[in-house]
Parts: sequence; structure tokens; C-alpha cells
Amino acid sequence: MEESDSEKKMEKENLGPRMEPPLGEPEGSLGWVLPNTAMKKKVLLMGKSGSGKTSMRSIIFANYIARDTRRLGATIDVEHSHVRFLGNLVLNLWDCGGQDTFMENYFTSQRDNIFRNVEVLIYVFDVESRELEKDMHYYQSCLEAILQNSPDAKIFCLVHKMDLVQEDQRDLIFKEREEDLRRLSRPLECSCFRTSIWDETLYKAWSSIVYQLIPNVQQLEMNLRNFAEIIEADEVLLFERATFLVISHYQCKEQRDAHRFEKISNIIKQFKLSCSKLAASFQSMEVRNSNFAAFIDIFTSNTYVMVVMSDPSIPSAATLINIRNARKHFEKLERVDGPKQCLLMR
Amino acid sequence: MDVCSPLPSALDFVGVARLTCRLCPKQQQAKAACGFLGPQSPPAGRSLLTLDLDSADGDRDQGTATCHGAARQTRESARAADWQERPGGGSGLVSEQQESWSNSMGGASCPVDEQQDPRQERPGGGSGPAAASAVLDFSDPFSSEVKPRILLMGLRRSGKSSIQKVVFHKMSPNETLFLESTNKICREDVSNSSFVNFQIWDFPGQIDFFDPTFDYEMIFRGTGALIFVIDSQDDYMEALARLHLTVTRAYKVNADINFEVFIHKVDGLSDDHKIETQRDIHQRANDDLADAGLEKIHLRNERGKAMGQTEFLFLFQNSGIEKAFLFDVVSKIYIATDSTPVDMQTYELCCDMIDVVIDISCIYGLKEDGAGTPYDKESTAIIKLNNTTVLYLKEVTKFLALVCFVREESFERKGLIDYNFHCFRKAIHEVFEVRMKVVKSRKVQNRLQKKKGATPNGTPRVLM
Repeated sequence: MEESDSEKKMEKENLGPRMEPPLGEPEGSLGWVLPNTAMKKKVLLMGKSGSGKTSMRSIIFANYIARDTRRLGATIDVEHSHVRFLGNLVLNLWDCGGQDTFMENYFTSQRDNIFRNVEVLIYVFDVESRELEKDMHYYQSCLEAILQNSPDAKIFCLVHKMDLVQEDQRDLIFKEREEDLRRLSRPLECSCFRTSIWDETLYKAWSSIVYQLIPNVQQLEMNLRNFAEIIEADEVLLFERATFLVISHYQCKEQRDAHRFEKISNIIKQFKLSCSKLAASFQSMEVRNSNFAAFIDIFTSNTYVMVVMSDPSIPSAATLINIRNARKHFEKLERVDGPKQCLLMR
Repeated sequence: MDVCSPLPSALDFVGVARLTCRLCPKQQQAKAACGFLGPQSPPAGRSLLTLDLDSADGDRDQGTATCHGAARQTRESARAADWQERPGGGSGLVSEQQESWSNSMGGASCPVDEQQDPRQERPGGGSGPAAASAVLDFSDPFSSEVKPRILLMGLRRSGKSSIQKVVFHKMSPNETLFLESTNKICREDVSNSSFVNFQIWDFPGQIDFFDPTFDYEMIFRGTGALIFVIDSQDDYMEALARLHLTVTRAYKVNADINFEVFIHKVDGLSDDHKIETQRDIHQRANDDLADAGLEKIHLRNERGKAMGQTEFLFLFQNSGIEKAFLFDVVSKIYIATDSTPVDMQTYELCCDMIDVVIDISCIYGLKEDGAGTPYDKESTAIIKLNNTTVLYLKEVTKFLALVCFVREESFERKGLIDYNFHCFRKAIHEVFEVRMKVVKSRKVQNRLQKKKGATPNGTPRVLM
């Protein structure tokens, strides 16, 4: 069947090598029970059937282009995928099929299994849905289950397929929905995003989601800030390597375009996909004109960096050397945090 | 760019030079005339050259912005708008066409033209854009260089307007779903925003050739090329019949027309089906036309990507460049390449690269107050791929960019490549300068003639 093939394909693409416990300790031994689970974050992806959950997941994590999602079939029950993120973080993504029978199942017999230990719940609403009552009913059932089993979970609501709405009405409709959802979610807090697989809003939403899951994001940002100040950059962005979601950034002055992060994610990801048609992938990029110079390069084993300089008199070689030197520092940062965090947890 | 400096090279004029607007005292007027407010906002309701398109992404409109040129163009398109908006009907159509035809042939008084004249009298070549547009003015009725005309014909819903919008107006293919049926002949000038200069006439699908009010002789006579679009996903027998009819008629009037057949919407077909369809159409079309003696039918089947036709040799072997293209940045048509064969994937990669460069430059490449343009003199880009190829893009003129593929080892000697490029760029500029001089002198001649008192339709008046 097609969808099980696609599932298999995605499983293969996402499952990276299992993380080895450091110091050669055997897995599962008393000292290291947690590393594999401590850095595994469970993400629930729920929503009505046909709302776009599997499509979104394929685009962000499995390198599908928007057009390819057309051939995805209905998800049967729950599809698990493990996404390696930033080396020491594994996202355990539970894509739950949205058909009625499955949904009923989740709330009854599979309740504990599904709703326990959840870090993030992503609920997807189809903006064109004609059964708003039913959607809200299911959403509330989810929330109840979450409240019982994982009260600390973060909740994200995505109002999806916004491209089907007229452009001038999009803000209005989204605001309405957002208010309703906020109201319904009390006492839990939810963050709402409007998304569409055809533009950059998808990246914005998922960037924010993933940002919440990164364990040492403050430290990353501090280091990024130092780096930027030393090399006199206008802006420095850190992207996750496979998905090109912006995980951290620093800017030294106000930039005009507030949506640039997701736009850049989108632009680069599209280019990456078109390179792959030629069985190649891009390693680095430099774009300049008389007002700026931007450098995109591989940074650590899990990240890309983008450095934007507004002083065109600084030769590219200088910036490239700086990036190269910073690389070692950030690599160390990434490596150190993993086990240290685990030690703390133990 | 300083306003009162001597006229910059032809391709530095209007189009992307927002800076000149700021300095020119006529700026306020130009802004009002063209309704163009700034880089963030798309031209209110209309782009400068066409009537019904709002660029989906307002940020990108900078590529097509003009200032003084716009004052002129919008007036012209405003007239065209009146022309288009008049209620349908055969007779209406003919008179309008004749009016616009006579205008372009140097006919009735053109109020806009008068307005240009005082500006040209200013010393030092006048305000950059206005004078430049006057010098290299293709829409000037008195210009002896009439723009080549391309007709887009085909059945209803075959994709003619979509093709035009996607290629020349940077519309995303997804948005073409929302385009409405063309019900009038839509005449568009592709000149100020792009290197390629011509007029495109987009025809409605159901054209009745036998309608006496539709003067085809006139249309076909001035045409350089006729593009017939066939929808490959539909049954194309009717399209072929119409193709035959159109081509025979056009050929009778003007045997010099180049005919092109676009087999459109092939993205929906599988690969072998594509080839089969192409062969089938080619065969049938040629059979039909065998008796008319027309053998040159070229088949193109890319969605929204037309390929340029000129190729000339230039030597880049010494720099270690494997492949080079001279691209028109806005329409992503390449106007020249070296003599090695071109494959689609390479071409597409170059297009994607240009997209990336322009998009990133739009985000970061403008000055703080939004001035400047994303694609300017210093635009360069280097993209390194993991298969040891390096893509190198460098600006050549305001509309053209050189995109080349270099091997990584050769790229070590970047200085050499840059030097060779510098020579190449200078040469291209010289070529354009020569051309401009020729046109300019012709222009001056025409103006003198006009002053001497030629009547609008060309007959000399008796000097008093």
C-alpha cells in the first residue's frame, strides 16, 4: 500500500543511528538508563482526518516538496518516527491518524499509552473544516487527556491550509480562531499559528515548536551573541541541518522584515531540494551586493550558520576564517551538553 | 547615480534605478503619476506595465519598478485600460485596435510624448531615467525601432496568460489558478523590467477568424512570432485544427512569422506519455501543414520556462569555467551560452540559484530606509555544491547576470576568473553602448525631422 511505503520511507530517512551511551557503558545499565530516554522528547501530532498532519511532517522532516504531499494516503492508527535533532535530541513524533474510529480509540483504550510523557502536543485544524463543533469536541478531549497525564506539556494549535482562504481575510479568520482556541484551552495555555504548506508560515510554526524543545537554547544564544559581536556581524542565524528550522539567532540591530527567518528557511530548503534533483547538495553559499554580504555554511555536525554582514568592505575570506574558527567552539558546546545534562538528570 | 551626470549606459536607466528618482525634482510628479509608493507596497492595484496583476509578494516588485518611465508607461497602459474595459463586441475591438496601431506607427497626437520633450532639452543628457527612456525609447511613436511583436494564441484555458505571467511577471505558478479568462486582447510591453524587449499580445481563447471586425491582416503583418499553446492534458484534436487554421492564415499575410508550438501542462503527464504526445502533435501538425510548405515548427514543453534562442561563442576555457550562461535576471531566460550542449537540469539549477540570490537580497540587500535594489552592480553569489562544482553568479548589467559552473580546483584561482570576467563585462557594456549610440543618432534624426514639420502620418509638410 502506498502509505505504508511512504511510512517506511520516512522511517528509514528519519531514524538515525541510536545514540550510544558515552564512556562505553552498556545501554540499559543502571548508570545510563536515562540517556536514551532523557533526550527523547515525545511530540504528539493530532487533528482530524485530512487536516494535513502527515503532509507537514513530510515536508519538514522528510524532505518532501509541497507538491509531493499529494500522494500521501490516510494515516492508519499511529505512525511513529524518530527524528534526530541537534545530535543529542531525538524527537519521537507520534502522527496519530485522525479518522473517527482512531480518535475514539485514543481517548479510551489507548489513552494512557498515547498521552503520557508528552512534551509537546500539536493539534492541527483545517481552516476549511465544516464540522467546527466536532473539531472542538475532539480538541477538548485531547486537552482533558493531557491534563490528566502530562500536565506540563506545551500545546500548539496550527490553523492549517490557510492558502485556501482569500488573502485579505486571512488575518481576520485566524484571529477569530485563535481567540476561540485560547478560550477553550483554559486552564492550559496554547500557542496558535496559521500555516500552509505552500509558503513560509509552516517553517515559522515548526521553528517555534522545536525551539521549545531544545535543551540548552539560552546558552546557545549567548555564545552566538559573543560570536556575532566579535566578527561584527549584523545578524547570525543558526539552522538545524536537516530541517533548516531556525533554532537560534542573534541580531544586533532592528531588521526590517519580521518574517525573514521562515522565509530564509523556506528559500534555502527549496534550493536544497532542487539541488538534490541533480544528486548534489549544497555546502555553502555566499551572496552579496553593495549593501550586504551573507554567508551560509555548515557549522557543527548538526547545524548550519548564516552570517549577515552589512559592511561590504570586510573581505569574505576574513568572515569565512572566523566562521571556521568558531566551529570548533560550538562543536565542543554541543558535545559537552549532552552527557552533562544526562548526568544532572541522574 | 547622480541625476545630472552624463547619461549612463543604456541599461543603467530606468527599471531598477530607484536612486535616481530621489534626486530628480520631478520625482513627486512621477510618483503621483505612476502611483508607486515605495519598495514595500506594490504599485496600487496595477503593476506598471500591465493592468491586472498584483505581484503576490509585494517585496519583489522592486525589480519592475520605474519612475519616470512609469509616468509614460502607465499613461499608455491607462489608455490601454480604457480600451480593455470597454464593453465587449466586435466593432469596439476593431476601432480600438486601429487606434493603438496607428499610435505605434506614429499616428495621432500623443500627449505623453510632448511631456517628455521639455525634459530632454535639459543639458547634460537630462534626468537620467527620462532622457534615457527617451533615447532608448521603444514605445515612442517616432522610434524607428518598432518592437517585435509576439502573439500568444491557443484554445481556451490552454494556459496562455499563465505562461506570460509566470515568465515575465514573476507570478508563482500556484497563483495562476486564480487568473480569470482573458476576454480581450491584452497587449503588454516587456521592456523596462527586463533585458528582452518586445510586445506580447495575449489573445482570448475563442477567436473567430471569420469575424469581419477582427482585422487579422494588420495584426499578423507586424508580428515576429506566433506562439500557439496546446493543452496536452486535454484532447488536442481541436487545438490542432485551430493551429492549422491560424498558421495558414498568418502565413498568408506574413511569411516571415516564426511559429512556435508550446505543448503545455506536461507536468501532469508521465515521461513516456510526454514524448508520445510531443511526437504525435508534431506529426499531425506537420502533416496538416505540409501542403502550405511550412516546415519549421519548434516544440517546447516546459511550463513557464521559455528558452532564449541566440547563442554565441565566447571563450572561457582559460578560466576553467565549464559552462556559462548569460541570464536575464527577471524572466530567467538565458540569452546566450557557450557552445557546449545545455541540459534542462543545469538550466533549472541556474534558475533556482537566481531565485535564491534575488530572494535573499530582497531580505537583506536593501538599505535601511528601503532604498536601493536587491540586484545591483555588486551582486555576486558563490554556491558550493558537494560534488566539487561551484556555481558563480556575477552581475553584468542591470538586467543580465553571468551564471557559470566552475570546478572547485579551478575556483582556487578565483582572481583569474574575476579578471577575465571583468574584461568580459567591459566588452558587453561596449556592445550595448554602441547600440545605444546608433539608436540615439537615429532618434536625433527623427526629432529633427519632426521639428521640420512632418505630419504624424509621415508625409512631409511644406516649410513656411
